[in-house]
Amino acid sequence: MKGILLVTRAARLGVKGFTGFVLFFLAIPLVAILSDSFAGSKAVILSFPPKGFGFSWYYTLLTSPDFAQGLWVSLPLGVTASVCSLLVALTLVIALKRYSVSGSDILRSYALSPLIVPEVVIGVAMLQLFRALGLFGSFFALVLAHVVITMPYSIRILEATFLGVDASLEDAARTLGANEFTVFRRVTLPSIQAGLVASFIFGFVTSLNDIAMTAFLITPKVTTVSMVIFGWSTKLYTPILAAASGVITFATFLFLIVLDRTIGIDKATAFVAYR
Amino acid sequence: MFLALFTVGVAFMTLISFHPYIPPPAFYGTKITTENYLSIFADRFALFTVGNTLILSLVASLLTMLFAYPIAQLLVRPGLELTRRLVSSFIILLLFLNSAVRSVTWITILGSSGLINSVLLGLNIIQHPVSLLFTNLAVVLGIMSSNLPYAILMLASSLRYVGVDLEDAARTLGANEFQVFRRVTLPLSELAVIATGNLMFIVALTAFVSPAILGGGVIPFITVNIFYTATEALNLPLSSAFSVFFTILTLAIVLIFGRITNRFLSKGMRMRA
Repeated sequence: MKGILLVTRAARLGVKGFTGFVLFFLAIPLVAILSDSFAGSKAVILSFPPKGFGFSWYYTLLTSPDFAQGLWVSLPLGVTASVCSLLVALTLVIALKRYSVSGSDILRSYALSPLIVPEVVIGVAMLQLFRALGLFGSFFALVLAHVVITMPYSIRILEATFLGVDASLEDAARTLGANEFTVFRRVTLPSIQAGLVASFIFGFVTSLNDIAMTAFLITPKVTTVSMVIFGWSTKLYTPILAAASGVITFATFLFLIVLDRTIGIDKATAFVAYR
Repeated sequence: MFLALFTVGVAFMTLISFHPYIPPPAFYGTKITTENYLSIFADRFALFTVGNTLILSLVASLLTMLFAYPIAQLLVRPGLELTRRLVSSFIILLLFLNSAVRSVTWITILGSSGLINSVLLGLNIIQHPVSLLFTNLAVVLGIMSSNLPYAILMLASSLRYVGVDLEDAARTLGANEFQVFRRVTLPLSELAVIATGNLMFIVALTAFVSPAILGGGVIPFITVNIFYTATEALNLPLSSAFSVFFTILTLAIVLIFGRITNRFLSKGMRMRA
Protein backbone atom coordinates (compact mmCIF):
# COMPACT_ATOMS: atom_id res chain seq x y z
CA MET A 1 0.00 0.00 0.00
CA LYS A 2 2.82 2.36 0.94
CA GLY A 3 4.56 1.53 -2.35
CA ILE A 4 1.49 2.50 -4.37
CA LEU A 5 1.15 5.77 -2.47
CA LEU A 6 4.79 6.56 -3.19
CA VAL A 7 4.35 5.80 -6.88
CA THR A 8 1.23 7.99 -6.95
CA ARG A 9 3.08 10.85 -5.33
CA ALA A 10 6.02 10.46 -7.70
CA ALA A 11 3.64 10.45 -10.67
CA ARG A 12 1.89 13.59 -9.44
CA LEU A 13 5.21 15.30 -8.95
CA GLY A 14 6.30 14.22 -12.43
CA VAL A 15 3.14 15.64 -14.02
CA LYS A 16 3.55 18.89 -12.09
CA GLY A 17 7.18 19.12 -13.09
CA PHE A 18 6.35 18.53 -16.75
CA THR A 19 3.54 21.10 -16.68
CA GLY A 20 5.97 23.59 -15.20
CA PHE A 21 8.51 22.76 -17.88
CA VAL A 22 5.98 23.40 -20.66
CA LEU A 23 5.01 26.75 -19.14
CA PHE A 24 8.69 27.61 -18.92
CA PHE A 25 9.14 26.54 -22.55
CA LEU A 26 6.31 28.87 -23.59
CA ALA A 27 7.41 31.81 -21.50
CA ILE A 28 11.19 31.87 -21.72
CA PRO A 29 11.57 32.98 -25.38
CA LEU A 30 9.22 35.90 -24.80
CA VAL A 31 10.90 36.86 -21.52
CA ALA A 32 14.31 36.65 -23.20
CA ILE A 33 13.38 38.84 -26.14
CA LEU A 34 11.57 41.42 -24.00
CA SER A 35 14.57 41.77 -21.72
CA ASP A 36 16.83 42.04 -24.75
CA SER A 37 14.76 44.94 -26.10
CA PHE A 38 16.29 47.03 -23.29
CA ALA A 39 19.82 46.13 -24.35
CA GLY A 40 22.39 48.90 -24.55
CA SER A 41 23.22 50.65 -27.80
CA LYS A 42 26.52 48.75 -28.12
CA ALA A 43 24.79 45.34 -28.35
CA VAL A 44 24.94 44.27 -31.98
CA ILE A 45 23.23 40.92 -31.92
CA LEU A 46 20.21 39.42 -30.16
CA SER A 47 21.64 37.83 -27.02
CA PHE A 48 20.59 36.49 -23.68
CA PRO A 49 21.54 37.63 -21.09
CA PRO A 50 21.25 41.10 -22.69
CA LYS A 51 24.35 43.27 -23.05
CA GLY A 52 24.02 46.65 -21.37
CA PHE A 53 20.85 48.59 -20.63
CA GLY A 54 19.02 51.40 -22.33
CA PHE A 55 16.11 52.38 -24.52
CA SER A 56 18.19 53.07 -27.60
CA TRP A 57 16.75 50.18 -29.61
CA TYR A 58 13.22 51.45 -29.02
CA TYR A 59 14.43 54.83 -30.24
CA THR A 60 16.04 53.21 -33.30
CA LEU A 61 12.82 51.32 -34.02
CA LEU A 62 10.44 54.23 -33.61
CA THR A 63 12.56 56.52 -35.78
CA SER A 64 13.05 53.85 -38.46
CA PRO A 65 11.41 54.93 -41.73
CA ASP A 66 10.70 51.27 -42.63
CA PHE A 67 8.66 50.68 -39.51
CA ALA A 68 6.71 53.92 -39.98
CA GLN A 69 6.05 53.06 -43.62
CA GLY A 70 4.82 49.60 -42.60
CA LEU A 71 2.41 51.06 -40.05
CA TRP A 72 1.25 53.62 -42.60
CA VAL A 73 0.12 50.74 -44.86
CA SER A 74 -0.94 48.22 -42.20
CA LEU A 75 -3.39 50.36 -40.25
CA PRO A 76 -5.55 51.57 -43.18
CA LEU A 77 -5.23 48.13 -44.77
CA GLY A 78 -6.50 46.39 -41.64
CA VAL A 79 -9.44 48.76 -41.23
CA THR A 80 -10.49 48.68 -44.91
CA ALA A 81 -10.12 44.92 -45.28
CA SER A 82 -12.01 44.09 -42.10
CA VAL A 83 -14.85 46.52 -42.85
CA CYS A 84 -15.23 45.11 -46.38
CA SER A 85 -15.10 41.55 -45.13
CA LEU A 86 -17.64 42.36 -42.41
CA LEU A 87 -20.09 43.90 -44.89
CA VAL A 88 -19.81 41.08 -47.43
CA ALA A 89 -20.07 38.42 -44.71
CA LEU A 90 -23.08 40.13 -43.14
CA THR A 91 -24.92 40.23 -46.46
CA LEU A 92 -24.04 36.60 -47.16
CA VAL A 93 -25.01 35.31 -43.71
CA ILE A 94 -28.34 37.14 -43.77
CA ALA A 95 -29.01 35.79 -47.28
CA LEU A 96 -28.11 32.25 -46.19
CA LYS A 97 -30.36 32.52 -43.15
CA ARG A 98 -33.30 34.10 -44.95
CA TYR A 99 -33.31 31.92 -48.04
CA SER A 100 -32.42 28.43 -46.87
CA VAL A 101 -32.86 26.94 -50.32
CA SER A 102 -31.01 23.91 -51.66
CA GLY A 103 -28.10 25.94 -53.00
CA SER A 104 -27.30 27.66 -49.70
CA ASP A 105 -25.12 24.82 -48.41
CA ILE A 106 -23.01 24.93 -51.54
CA LEU A 107 -22.75 28.71 -51.35
CA ARG A 108 -21.65 28.44 -47.72
CA SER A 109 -18.92 25.88 -48.41
CA TYR A 110 -17.86 27.94 -51.39
CA ALA A 111 -17.53 31.04 -49.20
CA LEU A 112 -15.49 29.14 -46.63
CA SER A 113 -13.25 27.44 -49.20
CA PRO A 114 -10.21 29.73 -48.68
CA LEU A 115 -9.85 28.05 -45.27
CA ILE A 116 -8.91 24.68 -46.74
CA VAL A 117 -6.22 25.94 -49.10
CA PRO A 118 -2.79 26.60 -47.53
CA GLU A 119 -2.26 30.34 -47.19
CA VAL A 120 1.01 30.25 -49.12
CA VAL A 121 -0.90 28.82 -52.09
CA ILE A 122 -3.43 31.68 -51.89
CA GLY A 123 -0.39 33.95 -51.99
CA VAL A 124 0.91 32.35 -55.20
CA ALA A 125 -2.55 32.53 -56.79
CA MET A 126 -3.08 36.18 -55.86
CA LEU A 127 0.45 37.13 -57.00
CA GLN A 128 -0.22 35.85 -60.49
CA LEU A 129 -3.72 37.20 -60.73
CA PHE A 130 -2.60 40.68 -59.68
CA ARG A 131 0.36 40.56 -62.06
CA ALA A 132 -1.96 39.63 -64.93
CA LEU A 133 -4.44 42.36 -63.98
CA GLY A 134 -1.68 44.94 -63.53
CA LEU A 135 -2.63 45.49 -59.88
CA PHE A 136 0.51 43.98 -58.37
CA GLY A 137 2.17 46.18 -55.78
CA SER A 138 -0.87 48.38 -55.17
CA PHE A 139 -2.61 49.03 -51.88
CA PHE A 140 -5.89 48.03 -53.53
CA ALA A 141 -4.50 44.57 -54.35
CA LEU A 142 -3.53 44.07 -50.70
CA VAL A 143 -7.06 45.02 -49.60
CA LEU A 144 -8.62 42.51 -52.03
CA ALA A 145 -6.28 39.70 -50.92
CA HIS A 146 -6.79 40.44 -47.23
CA VAL A 147 -10.57 40.32 -47.64
CA VAL A 148 -10.16 36.83 -49.14
CA ILE A 149 -8.41 35.54 -46.00
CA THR A 150 -10.45 37.43 -43.39
CA MET A 151 -13.90 36.73 -44.80
CA PRO A 152 -14.18 33.06 -43.76
CA TYR A 153 -13.59 34.14 -40.16
CA SER A 154 -16.16 36.93 -40.43
CA ILE A 155 -18.69 34.43 -41.79
CA ARG A 156 -18.02 31.96 -38.97
CA ILE A 157 -18.30 34.62 -36.28
CA LEU A 158 -21.48 36.14 -37.72
CA GLU A 159 -23.07 32.71 -38.18
CA ALA A 160 -22.39 31.92 -34.53
CA THR A 161 -23.85 35.29 -33.57
CA PHE A 162 -27.02 34.85 -35.63
CA LEU A 163 -27.70 31.55 -33.87
CA GLY A 164 -28.29 33.64 -30.76
CA VAL A 165 -30.81 35.94 -32.44
CA ASP A 166 -34.38 35.22 -31.45
CA ALA A 167 -36.38 35.15 -34.70
CA SER A 168 -39.63 35.55 -32.82
CA LEU A 169 -38.54 39.04 -31.72
CA GLU A 170 -38.17 40.04 -35.35
CA ASP A 171 -41.58 38.56 -36.12
CA ALA A 172 -43.06 40.42 -33.16
CA ALA A 173 -41.65 43.70 -34.49
CA ARG A 174 -43.11 42.96 -37.92
CA THR A 175 -46.52 42.19 -36.42
CA LEU A 176 -46.35 45.52 -34.62
CA GLY A 177 -45.98 47.20 -38.00
CA ALA A 178 -42.24 47.72 -38.37
CA ASN A 179 -40.87 47.56 -41.89
CA GLU A 180 -37.85 45.38 -42.80
CA PHE A 181 -35.37 48.20 -42.36
CA THR A 182 -36.73 49.16 -38.95
CA VAL A 183 -36.70 45.51 -37.86
CA PHE A 184 -33.05 45.24 -38.85
CA ARG A 185 -32.05 48.52 -37.23
CA ARG A 186 -34.04 48.21 -34.01
CA VAL A 187 -34.13 44.46 -33.35
CA THR A 188 -31.53 42.50 -35.33
CA LEU A 189 -28.66 44.97 -35.14
CA PRO A 190 -28.63 45.41 -31.35
CA SER A 191 -28.61 41.65 -30.84
CA ILE A 192 -25.70 41.01 -33.21
CA GLN A 193 -23.60 43.95 -32.02
CA ALA A 194 -21.06 41.78 -30.17
CA GLY A 195 -20.59 39.62 -33.27
CA LEU A 196 -19.99 42.68 -35.45
CA VAL A 197 -17.37 43.99 -33.05
CA ALA A 198 -15.72 40.57 -32.85
CA SER A 199 -15.71 40.20 -36.62
CA PHE A 200 -14.16 43.63 -37.09
CA ILE A 201 -11.46 43.08 -34.46
CA PHE A 202 -10.58 39.63 -35.78
CA GLY A 203 -10.44 40.83 -39.35
CA PHE A 204 -8.19 43.69 -38.31
CA VAL A 205 -5.81 41.48 -36.33
CA THR A 206 -5.72 38.77 -39.02
CA SER A 207 -4.84 41.39 -41.59
CA LEU A 208 -2.25 43.06 -39.37
CA ASN A 209 -0.55 39.77 -38.50
CA ASP A 210 -0.66 38.05 -41.86
CA ILE A 211 2.64 37.05 -43.39
CA ALA A 212 2.18 33.74 -45.25
CA MET A 213 0.07 35.33 -48.00
CA THR A 214 1.17 38.96 -47.80
CA ALA A 215 4.81 37.92 -48.34
CA PHE A 216 3.97 37.28 -51.98
CA LEU A 217 2.24 40.60 -52.58
CA ILE A 218 4.46 43.30 -51.17
CA THR A 219 6.97 45.57 -52.88
CA PRO A 220 9.67 47.68 -51.18
CA LYS A 221 7.28 50.64 -51.39
CA VAL A 222 4.01 49.03 -50.30
CA THR A 223 4.72 46.76 -47.35
CA THR A 224 3.04 45.94 -44.03
CA VAL A 225 4.46 46.20 -40.55
CA SER A 226 4.49 42.39 -40.14
CA MET A 227 6.44 42.09 -43.36
CA VAL A 228 8.95 44.71 -42.19
CA ILE A 229 9.61 42.61 -39.08
CA PHE A 230 9.71 39.43 -41.16
CA GLY A 231 12.21 41.04 -43.54
CA TRP A 232 14.45 42.13 -40.66
CA SER A 233 14.26 38.70 -39.08
CA THR A 234 15.71 37.04 -42.16
CA LYS A 235 18.69 39.36 -42.55
CA LEU A 236 19.60 41.22 -39.38
CA TYR A 237 19.72 39.97 -35.83
CA THR A 238 20.15 43.24 -33.93
CA PRO A 239 18.04 44.10 -30.87
CA ILE A 240 15.82 46.24 -33.13
CA LEU A 241 13.92 42.95 -33.57
CA ALA A 242 13.58 42.75 -29.79
CA ALA A 243 12.27 46.31 -29.62
CA ALA A 244 9.77 45.53 -32.40
CA SER A 245 8.69 42.42 -30.49
CA GLY A 246 8.26 44.58 -27.38
CA VAL A 247 6.04 47.09 -29.19
CA ILE A 248 3.97 44.36 -30.85
CA THR A 249 3.57 42.42 -27.59
CA PHE A 250 2.45 45.56 -25.80
CA ALA A 251 -0.03 46.39 -28.59
CA THR A 252 -1.40 42.82 -28.50
CA PHE A 253 -1.80 43.13 -24.74
CA LEU A 254 -3.78 46.37 -25.12
CA PHE A 255 -5.90 44.79 -27.85
CA LEU A 256 -6.75 41.87 -25.54
CA ILE A 257 -7.86 44.28 -22.83
CA VAL A 258 -10.16 46.03 -25.34
CA LEU A 259 -11.45 42.65 -26.51
CA ASP A 260 -12.13 41.61 -22.92
CA ARG A 261 -14.05 44.83 -22.21
CA THR A 262 -16.18 44.63 -25.36
CA ILE A 263 -17.11 40.98 -25.90
CA GLY A 264 -15.33 39.06 -23.16
CA ILE A 265 -12.09 37.23 -23.67
CA ASP A 266 -13.50 33.71 -23.32
CA LYS A 267 -16.09 34.26 -26.01
CA ALA A 268 -13.49 35.85 -28.26
CA THR A 269 -11.12 32.93 -27.82
CA ALA A 270 -13.87 30.45 -28.61
CA PHE A 271 -14.18 32.05 -32.07
CA VAL A 272 -10.54 31.23 -32.77
CA ALA A 273 -10.26 27.92 -30.97
CA TYR A 274 -13.17 26.37 -32.87
CA ARG A 275 -12.46 26.00 -36.53
CA MET B 1 -16.82 39.42 -56.11
CA PHE B 2 -14.38 38.53 -53.33
CA LEU B 3 -15.38 34.89 -53.59
CA ALA B 4 -14.81 34.97 -57.32
CA LEU B 5 -11.38 36.52 -56.75
CA PHE B 6 -10.21 33.47 -54.84
CA THR B 7 -11.66 30.98 -57.32
CA VAL B 8 -10.37 32.82 -60.38
CA GLY B 9 -6.96 33.13 -58.73
CA VAL B 10 -6.69 29.42 -58.02
CA ALA B 11 -7.97 28.52 -61.50
CA PHE B 12 -5.48 30.91 -63.10
CA MET B 13 -2.65 29.47 -61.00
CA THR B 14 -3.56 25.94 -62.10
CA LEU B 15 -3.59 27.11 -65.72
CA ILE B 16 -0.13 28.71 -65.43
CA SER B 17 1.25 25.55 -63.83
CA PHE B 18 0.81 23.92 -67.27
CA HIS B 19 2.80 26.59 -69.10
CA PRO B 20 6.59 26.66 -69.53
CA TYR B 21 8.85 29.11 -67.69
CA ILE B 22 10.14 32.15 -69.57
CA PRO B 23 12.30 34.79 -67.84
CA PRO B 24 10.53 38.05 -66.86
CA PRO B 25 8.83 40.22 -67.96
CA ALA B 26 6.88 37.51 -69.81
CA PHE B 27 7.05 35.02 -66.86
CA TYR B 28 5.37 32.17 -68.75
CA GLY B 29 5.04 30.87 -72.28
CA THR B 30 1.90 30.00 -74.20
CA LYS B 31 2.59 26.33 -74.94
CA ILE B 32 0.81 23.67 -72.86
CA THR B 33 3.24 21.40 -70.99
CA THR B 34 3.51 19.13 -67.97
CA GLU B 35 7.23 19.81 -67.52
CA ASN B 36 6.73 21.71 -64.24
CA TYR B 37 5.03 18.75 -62.60
CA LEU B 38 7.55 16.30 -64.03
CA SER B 39 10.40 18.42 -62.68
CA ILE B 40 8.98 18.17 -59.14
CA PHE B 41 9.06 14.38 -59.31
CA ALA B 42 12.39 14.22 -61.13
CA ASP B 43 14.13 16.67 -58.83
CA ARG B 44 15.85 14.96 -55.90
CA PHE B 45 15.83 18.19 -53.89
CA ALA B 46 12.09 18.75 -54.39
CA LEU B 47 11.32 15.22 -53.21
CA PHE B 48 13.67 15.63 -50.27
CA THR B 49 11.85 18.87 -49.41
CA VAL B 50 8.50 17.06 -49.37
CA GLY B 51 9.90 14.27 -47.17
CA ASN B 52 11.60 16.68 -44.77
CA THR B 53 8.43 18.76 -44.47
CA LEU B 54 6.31 15.71 -43.66
CA ILE B 55 8.78 14.43 -41.03
CA LEU B 56 9.27 17.81 -39.33
CA SER B 57 5.50 18.41 -39.27
CA LEU B 58 4.90 14.98 -37.78
CA VAL B 59 7.52 15.44 -35.06
CA ALA B 60 6.33 19.00 -34.33
CA SER B 61 2.68 17.99 -34.07
CA LEU B 62 3.38 14.97 -31.83
CA LEU B 63 5.46 17.13 -29.48
CA THR B 64 2.80 19.85 -29.61
CA MET B 65 0.19 17.37 -28.40
CA LEU B 66 2.48 16.03 -25.68
CA PHE B 67 3.15 19.55 -24.40
CA ALA B 68 -0.43 20.79 -24.84
CA TYR B 69 -2.15 17.99 -22.93
CA PRO B 70 -1.03 18.79 -19.35
CA ILE B 71 -1.64 22.52 -19.83
CA ALA B 72 -5.13 21.86 -21.24
CA GLN B 73 -5.86 19.65 -18.23
CA LEU B 74 -4.60 22.40 -15.93
CA LEU B 75 -7.02 24.85 -17.57
CA VAL B 76 -10.10 22.67 -17.05
CA ARG B 77 -9.33 21.31 -13.56
CA PRO B 78 -11.08 22.91 -10.61
CA GLY B 79 -8.92 24.63 -8.00
CA LEU B 80 -5.91 26.91 -8.41
CA GLU B 81 -8.17 29.68 -9.70
CA LEU B 82 -5.44 32.34 -9.85
CA THR B 83 -2.87 30.13 -11.58
CA ARG B 84 -5.45 29.09 -14.12
CA ARG B 85 -6.51 32.65 -14.82
CA LEU B 86 -2.86 33.70 -15.31
CA VAL B 87 -1.96 30.71 -17.49
CA SER B 88 -5.02 31.10 -19.70
CA SER B 89 -4.41 34.85 -20.15
CA PHE B 90 -0.82 34.15 -21.11
CA ILE B 91 -1.86 31.46 -23.61
CA ILE B 92 -4.39 33.83 -25.17
CA LEU B 93 -1.73 36.54 -25.45
CA LEU B 94 0.51 34.07 -27.29
CA LEU B 95 -2.39 33.03 -29.53
CA PHE B 96 -2.90 36.58 -30.78
CA LEU B 97 0.78 37.50 -30.91
CA ASN B 98 2.24 38.17 -34.34
CA SER B 99 3.73 35.00 -35.82
CA ALA B 100 6.97 36.71 -36.87
CA VAL B 101 7.46 37.91 -33.30
CA ARG B 102 6.82 34.42 -31.96
CA SER B 103 9.53 33.00 -34.21
CA VAL B 104 11.94 35.85 -33.57
CA THR B 105 11.78 35.20 -29.81
CA TRP B 106 13.56 31.89 -30.47
CA ILE B 107 16.60 33.69 -31.88
CA THR B 108 17.42 34.91 -28.34
CA ILE B 109 17.34 31.29 -27.17
CA LEU B 110 19.02 29.48 -30.07
CA GLY B 111 21.26 32.17 -31.56
CA SER B 112 25.06 32.15 -31.26
CA SER B 113 24.88 34.46 -28.21
CA GLY B 114 21.49 33.17 -27.11
CA LEU B 115 20.47 31.54 -23.84
CA ILE B 116 21.56 27.99 -24.66
CA ASN B 117 24.98 28.99 -25.95
CA SER B 118 25.49 31.36 -22.98
CA VAL B 119 24.72 28.56 -20.53
CA LEU B 120 26.89 25.98 -22.33
CA LEU B 121 29.79 28.41 -22.69
CA GLY B 122 29.43 29.53 -19.08
CA LEU B 123 29.58 25.94 -17.84
CA ASN B 124 32.61 25.32 -20.07
CA ILE B 125 30.85 22.46 -21.81
CA ILE B 126 31.66 23.98 -25.18
CA GLN B 127 34.47 26.37 -26.14
CA HIS B 128 32.84 27.96 -29.20
CA PRO B 129 29.18 28.79 -29.82
CA VAL B 130 27.29 25.98 -31.55
CA SER B 131 24.91 26.97 -34.29
CA LEU B 132 21.38 25.97 -33.35
CA LEU B 133 19.56 28.35 -35.66
CA PHE B 134 18.82 27.23 -39.22
CA THR B 135 18.51 23.60 -38.15
CA ASN B 136 15.65 21.12 -38.25
CA LEU B 137 15.50 21.44 -34.45
CA ALA B 138 14.97 25.20 -34.66
CA VAL B 139 12.15 24.75 -37.18
CA VAL B 140 10.43 22.11 -35.03
CA LEU B 141 10.71 24.30 -31.91
CA GLY B 142 9.36 27.29 -33.82
CA ILE B 143 6.38 25.40 -35.23
CA MET B 144 5.66 23.86 -31.84
CA SER B 145 5.66 27.11 -29.95
CA SER B 146 3.50 28.78 -32.61
CA ASN B 147 0.93 26.00 -32.55
CA LEU B 148 0.90 25.21 -28.83
CA PRO B 149 -1.48 28.01 -27.72
CA TYR B 150 -3.92 26.94 -30.39
CA ALA B 151 -3.66 23.24 -29.46
CA ILE B 152 -4.03 23.98 -25.74
CA LEU B 153 -7.21 26.01 -26.20
CA MET B 154 -8.75 23.51 -28.63
CA LEU B 155 -7.99 20.60 -26.30
CA ALA B 156 -9.22 22.49 -23.26
CA SER B 157 -12.51 23.33 -24.95
CA SER B 158 -13.19 19.62 -25.59
CA LEU B 159 -11.80 18.36 -22.28
CA ARG B 160 -14.15 20.68 -20.43
CA TYR B 161 -16.92 18.19 -21.15
CA VAL B 162 -15.06 15.17 -19.81
CA GLY B 163 -15.70 16.20 -16.21
CA VAL B 164 -13.85 15.22 -13.08
CA ASP B 165 -16.75 13.34 -11.46
CA LEU B 166 -15.87 10.09 -13.22
CA GLU B 167 -12.27 10.34 -12.11
CA ASP B 168 -13.36 10.94 -8.53
CA ALA B 169 -15.68 7.96 -8.79
CA ALA B 170 -12.79 5.76 -9.98
CA ARG B 171 -10.66 7.01 -7.09
CA THR B 172 -13.41 6.24 -4.61
CA LEU B 173 -13.56 2.74 -6.05
CA GLY B 174 -9.86 2.33 -5.23
CA ALA B 175 -8.10 3.13 -8.50
CA ASN B 176 -4.65 4.70 -8.21
CA GLU B 177 -3.59 7.75 -10.24
CA PHE B 178 -2.15 5.65 -13.08
CA GLN B 179 -5.32 3.59 -13.36
CA VAL B 180 -7.50 6.70 -13.25
CA PHE B 181 -5.48 8.24 -16.05
CA ARG B 182 -5.24 5.09 -18.18
CA ARG B 183 -8.78 3.80 -17.71
CA VAL B 184 -10.82 6.99 -17.31
CA THR B 185 -9.12 10.25 -18.31
CA LEU B 186 -7.30 9.05 -21.41
CA PRO B 187 -10.16 7.10 -23.04
CA LEU B 188 -12.51 10.02 -22.47
CA SER B 189 -10.14 12.56 -23.99
CA GLU B 190 -8.97 10.27 -26.81
CA LEU B 191 -11.23 11.79 -29.43
CA ALA B 192 -10.26 15.36 -28.55
CA VAL B 193 -6.59 14.43 -28.71
CA ILE B 194 -6.93 12.75 -32.11
CA ALA B 195 -8.99 15.58 -33.62
CA THR B 196 -6.66 18.28 -32.31
CA GLY B 197 -3.59 16.27 -33.31
CA ASN B 198 -4.84 15.91 -36.89
CA LEU B 199 -5.44 19.62 -37.15
CA MET B 200 -2.02 20.39 -35.65
CA PHE B 201 -0.34 18.25 -38.28
CA ILE B 202 -2.06 20.19 -41.07
CA VAL B 203 -1.27 23.52 -39.40
CA ALA B 204 2.40 22.46 -39.08
CA LEU B 205 2.51 21.28 -42.71
CA THR B 206 1.22 24.61 -43.99
CA ALA B 207 3.32 26.72 -41.58
CA PHE B 208 5.42 29.34 -43.29
CA VAL B 209 6.77 31.91 -40.84
CA SER B 210 8.67 29.61 -38.43
CA PRO B 211 10.33 27.51 -41.15
CA ALA B 212 11.26 30.67 -43.06
CA ILE B 213 12.74 32.58 -40.09
CA LEU B 214 14.23 29.74 -38.05
CA GLY B 215 15.17 27.59 -41.05
CA GLY B 216 16.97 30.56 -42.59
CA GLY B 217 16.26 29.33 -46.12
CA VAL B 218 18.56 26.31 -45.72
CA ILE B 219 16.10 23.88 -44.16
CA PRO B 220 13.97 22.36 -46.94
CA PHE B 221 10.29 23.05 -46.30
CA ILE B 222 7.55 23.05 -48.96
CA THR B 223 6.05 26.47 -48.16
CA VAL B 224 9.47 28.14 -48.00
CA ASN B 225 10.47 26.49 -51.27
CA ILE B 226 7.29 27.79 -52.95
CA PHE B 227 8.00 31.26 -51.59
CA TYR B 228 11.56 31.46 -52.92
CA THR B 229 10.60 29.93 -56.26
CA ALA B 230 7.87 32.54 -56.73
CA THR B 231 9.50 35.69 -55.33
CA GLU B 232 13.25 35.27 -55.86
CA ALA B 233 13.68 32.82 -58.73
CA LEU B 234 10.53 34.41 -60.24
CA ASN B 235 9.62 31.03 -61.72
CA LEU B 236 5.84 31.40 -61.53
CA PRO B 237 4.93 28.22 -63.47
CA LEU B 238 7.07 26.01 -61.23
CA SER B 239 5.82 27.61 -58.00
CA SER B 240 2.25 27.21 -59.31
CA ALA B 241 2.81 23.53 -60.03
CA PHE B 242 4.33 23.04 -56.59
CA SER B 243 1.36 24.89 -55.06
CA VAL B 244 -1.18 22.70 -56.86
CA PHE B 245 0.72 19.58 -55.80
CA PHE B 246 0.95 20.87 -52.21
CA THR B 247 -2.78 21.65 -52.05
CA ILE B 248 -3.68 18.18 -53.32
CA LEU B 249 -1.26 16.63 -50.82
CA THR B 250 -2.80 18.61 -47.94
CA LEU B 251 -6.37 17.77 -48.93
CA ALA B 252 -5.45 14.08 -49.34
CA ILE B 253 -3.96 14.03 -45.83
CA VAL B 254 -7.08 15.72 -44.42
CA LEU B 255 -9.28 13.09 -46.10
CA ILE B 256 -7.12 10.16 -44.97
CA PHE B 257 -7.01 11.44 -41.40
CA GLY B 258 -10.78 11.87 -41.46
CA ARG B 259 -11.19 8.26 -42.60
CA ILE B 260 -8.83 6.90 -39.95
CA THR B 261 -10.54 8.89 -37.21
CA ASN B 262 -13.94 7.64 -38.31
CA ARG B 263 -12.80 4.02 -38.42
CA PHE B 264 -11.17 4.42 -35.04
CA LEU B 265 -14.38 5.91 -33.67
CA SER B 266 -16.68 3.18 -34.93
CA LYS B 267 -14.27 0.53 -33.59
CA GLY B 268 -14.25 2.28 -30.23
CA MET B 269 -18.05 2.36 -30.19
CA ARG B 270 -18.23 -1.36 -30.89
CA MET B 271 -15.75 -2.12 -28.15
CA ARG B 272 -17.68 -0.10 -25.64
CA ALA B 273 -21.03 -1.57 -26.66
